[in-house]
Amino acid sequence: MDIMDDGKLAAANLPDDVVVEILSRLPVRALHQCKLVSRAWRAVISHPDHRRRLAQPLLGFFYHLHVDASSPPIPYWRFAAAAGGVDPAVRWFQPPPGYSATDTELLDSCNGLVLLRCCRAPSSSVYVVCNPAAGDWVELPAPTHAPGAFGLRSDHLQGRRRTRLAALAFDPAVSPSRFHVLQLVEREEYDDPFMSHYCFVVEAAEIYSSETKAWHLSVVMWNGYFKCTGHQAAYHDGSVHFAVDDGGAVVSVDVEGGAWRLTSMIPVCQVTYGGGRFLGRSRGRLLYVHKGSHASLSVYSLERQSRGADEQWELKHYASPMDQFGKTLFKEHDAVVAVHPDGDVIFLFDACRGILMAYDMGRRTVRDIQLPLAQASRYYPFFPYVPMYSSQALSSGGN
Amino acid sequence: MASAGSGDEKAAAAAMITLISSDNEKFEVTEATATLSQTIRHMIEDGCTDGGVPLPNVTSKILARVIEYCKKHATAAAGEEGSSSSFSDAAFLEVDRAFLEELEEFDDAFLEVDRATLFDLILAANYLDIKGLLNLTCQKVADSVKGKTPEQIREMYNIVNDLTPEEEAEIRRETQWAFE
Repeated sequence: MDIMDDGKLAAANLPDDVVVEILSRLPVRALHQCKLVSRAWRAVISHPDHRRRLAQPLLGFFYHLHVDASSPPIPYWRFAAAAGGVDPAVRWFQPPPGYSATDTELLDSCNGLVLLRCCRAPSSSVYVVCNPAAGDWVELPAPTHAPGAFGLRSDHLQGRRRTRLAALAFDPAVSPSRFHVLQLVEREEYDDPFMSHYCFVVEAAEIYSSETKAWHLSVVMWNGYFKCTGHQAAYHDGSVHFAVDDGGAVVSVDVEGGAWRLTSMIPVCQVTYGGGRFLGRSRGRLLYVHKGSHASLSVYSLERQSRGADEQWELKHYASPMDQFGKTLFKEHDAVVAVHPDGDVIFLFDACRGILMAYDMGRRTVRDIQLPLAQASRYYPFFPYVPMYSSQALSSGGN
Repeated sequence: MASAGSGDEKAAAAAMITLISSDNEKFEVTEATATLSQTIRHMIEDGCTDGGVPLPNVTSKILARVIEYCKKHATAAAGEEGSSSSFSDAAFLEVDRAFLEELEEFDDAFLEVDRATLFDLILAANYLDIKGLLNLTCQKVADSVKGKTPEQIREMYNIVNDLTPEEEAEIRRETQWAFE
């Protein structure tokens, strides 16, 4: 028997669990292309028993509804499925039992987990972390500063301080059973109440660790003020990142050690339009999407030249608002609402038409995504959702 | 003192395990090396290693390679335990780093095998439940699959395409996003 025959024999004889072992190391796109290899591989990849171990595709988006006082008592979010066959548990994901549906906000999604701010009674909110696919949830103990509301809703002012921008930090590839939640603590820029311009500067971050089950306060490490200018944050490589000030700067807080870093880029455009700064994780990289003047779009990527070197923002992509044929790609009011976790795609929301659009950076084309969006709010980001079927992350939390 | 010394020697001698390959070749290894395999660890715990451990699924050629891997990584594991107490010590960190680099180089060289051997190593690592070796070998195959077309993957691993054109079209429709 020669080597070739040996190889043939071995490849055909790999038991399913070994094939899963190999395929579990593939990113989602490469994994799904492997369905075309053979019937056996397709069956292995599609089998529900293997969902826990194999990379899952982007299932769709959670998004907030634009609501007013007359709206019915329903959760203020919906799920828009990118493909058919979505688990009903995800499609009809509700706040955990016992919480008021009308005063629950979805604040962040990260690698299969979502972060909610829930109310039991008026003005007593708590953070709740859920795994919609596994049906698990865990309520976090109260932080020192009460959880703030998202973006533009009323602030919970407490002695001239407020909290906002809560972010979830979870990466099953690093640790499948551990997560962090971070909220920013801001104080009014001027001590004198008569001087108040309702301007807030970042003072600290309060970070919850699922390991210690406690919050700890990490105060800004350097002198000088900065304002948090974005409405959302992104978790990448051990840190939560958010946009500050106007000049294209990003602050990163290490969720384990509490260290603060400031990185900045030289923006192509000085002016920002249409909810114009967005941080998101795509294909293992942190992206900063900036919507500049005349609706141009610049995408930066945080890169490290070599191990141990400083991180730097590099311009990865620039798009003028019109393509080569003079056709308008995006308009000034189109807001950047998400980046694709495993594709070179930026999602924008056209609030006038109520339509989510996908901008393909490779092809430089924009297409409308045919999702039935019921009155999506223009003030919230869309939360991309990639399901995680293992329930390890919240199991140690104890509901 | 003397009796304590001979006791240690006795313990060391007792900690040797004999592994017997499918073609009846015998390999003497230390317990520390052998217990990188969870399967063998359980056998030792159950006290059924007297007279050697028969491994009917592993040839002597593959078993020799597996033992080579385990020996190297058993020393690494022992070294790690020894230095972890003085983790803050810069000199120890430097030693650790040098050792880890050496280990990485060893792993890279270890993977320089033909595909048939690689598959046999995967099967052996799976059967013997050696986590590190399974991870190493499966990652090698996964890396070789990345960026390849299904056709190239089939060719590389001698897999027969048994999908009908209709099934192929269906898969492409279902997972259109993955092929864009």
